[in-house]
Amino acid sequence: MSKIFQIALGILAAIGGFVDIGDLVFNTEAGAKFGYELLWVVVVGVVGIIVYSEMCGRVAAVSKRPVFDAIRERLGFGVGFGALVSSQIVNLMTLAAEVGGMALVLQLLSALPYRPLIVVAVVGIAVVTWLAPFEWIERIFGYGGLCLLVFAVGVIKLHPDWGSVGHGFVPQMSASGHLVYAYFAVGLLGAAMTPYEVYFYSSGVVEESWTPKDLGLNRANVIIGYGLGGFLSFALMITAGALFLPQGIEPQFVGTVALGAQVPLGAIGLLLALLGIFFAVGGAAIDTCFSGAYNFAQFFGWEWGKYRRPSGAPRFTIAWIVLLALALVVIMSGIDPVMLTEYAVIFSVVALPLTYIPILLVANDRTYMGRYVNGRLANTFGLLYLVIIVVVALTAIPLMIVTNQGQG
Amino acid sequence: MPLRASIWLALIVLAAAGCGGGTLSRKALQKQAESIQSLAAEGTLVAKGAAGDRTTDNFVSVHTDYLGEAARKIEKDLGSSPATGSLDAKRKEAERLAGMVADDLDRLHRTPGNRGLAAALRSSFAKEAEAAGKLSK
Repeated sequence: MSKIFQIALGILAAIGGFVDIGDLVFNTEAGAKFGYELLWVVVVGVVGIIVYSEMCGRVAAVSKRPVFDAIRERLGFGVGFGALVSSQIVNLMTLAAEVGGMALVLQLLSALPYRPLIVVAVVGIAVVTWLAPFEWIERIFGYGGLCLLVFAVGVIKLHPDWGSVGHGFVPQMSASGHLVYAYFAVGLLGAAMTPYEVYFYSSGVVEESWTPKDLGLNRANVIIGYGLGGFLSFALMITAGALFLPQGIEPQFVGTVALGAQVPLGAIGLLLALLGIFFAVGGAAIDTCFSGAYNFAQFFGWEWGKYRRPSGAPRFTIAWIVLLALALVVIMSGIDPVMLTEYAVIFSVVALPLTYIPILLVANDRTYMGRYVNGRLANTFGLLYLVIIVVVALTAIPLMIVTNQGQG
Repeated sequence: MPLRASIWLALIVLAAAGCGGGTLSRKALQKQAESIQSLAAEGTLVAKGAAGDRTTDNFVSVHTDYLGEAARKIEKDLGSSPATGSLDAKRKEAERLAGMVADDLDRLHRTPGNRGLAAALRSSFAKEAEAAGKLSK
């Protein structure tokens, strides 16, 4: 049983990264537009995040240094500060969107007004973050998010054309709408490799006091956690391809995503889907809230960590409280959470090289890593993905503009 | 051109664009018709769930409210963007359809637990989706 609990960190990081409020709608939109043709992109994204999260976890376990420490040291203060500012803007956008997403789900469950539910969501996150130990936060939100597996059950009941589904795992270009297809491919890759996942994951490794003895656990966490995140993305995309594409439905709302479980499985499917979305989005909110506070603390050299009492890391505690308060202000302004997080994904793509290049450098540095330095396989994949990341970073914003955010 | 004049020109262009006074292009009308078709098709699924007691009243009420708002926005946008020639007749038809979809969604939003109404609205949505689909061709 304890072994199962030990992979909660990877599951929470992955669920937060793969099925947050924007990804839920983005994956569903991708399936509704292109059927199963973009499934292979999720596979590319999953392998990429596994490669880099394994490196981050290894670096953190061996050197006790999480990602932002490495960014500041390897890129210097100026560029490091640029990375800090850009990542914090994206963190705040994402956190605000997730808080809005939690309120939307609560509204779909209760039919209460949206704005008061935003306050309920923020207070709920603050209370859980203040009171619950790190391990319990991981378990509540990581395992709660597993209710999303209802979409996998729904897929079976929808009887998709499995031959076409299988064909979707083969890299291909769409027969029509090349630019929109490319926009969705870039967005899916960006969402899979979004930087806050590795900030959160590597800091979590330090929070949990992993040592080189835990490198097997690190590998299990990233493979199972991100593999599961990818599996949930597949389920959402296949659901949309089987259910929404034939009827010409263009998903724009969280409710449409939940409808994908309601149609094949009825009210139980709907409730499980909404619960899963609530925990996944709540997990993403906590991922981003902590990531923001971790980044500030690690960049400026403050005491940090959830394992400390708030008085033991006061500036870290103030940082996450301020981020949560700012997110409340942003989402209360009336901005659409789904649109906000889609912008956040695309903007985060631009910052990907600033996050992943320092990780690759530190993971190759024998001074830090000793005998745990990157092997040939990790470097081959690391370099390959670095090329992909740079291409994706250069094309993300032009594609967003040219395709009118995927609307064509 | 002096900087101040350029800024004024840019502001005038932006203001004109923001007034919504431009004429509707064929492609824009097609997009709007596709959106109406999408909302009506989604209304069909929600109404089917409500008619078969396979969903929750809260979900039906809240989700149809969001869908209805989107349909009403399309109706308003189409009403404020005239088109020329034969395209204008299509625009008016699309505007009428968007209004019908919004009205039906509003009825479902107000009485989500009425299974008989949901069954009737299901076929109404299906017809609206089909009509919007033809319009988008």
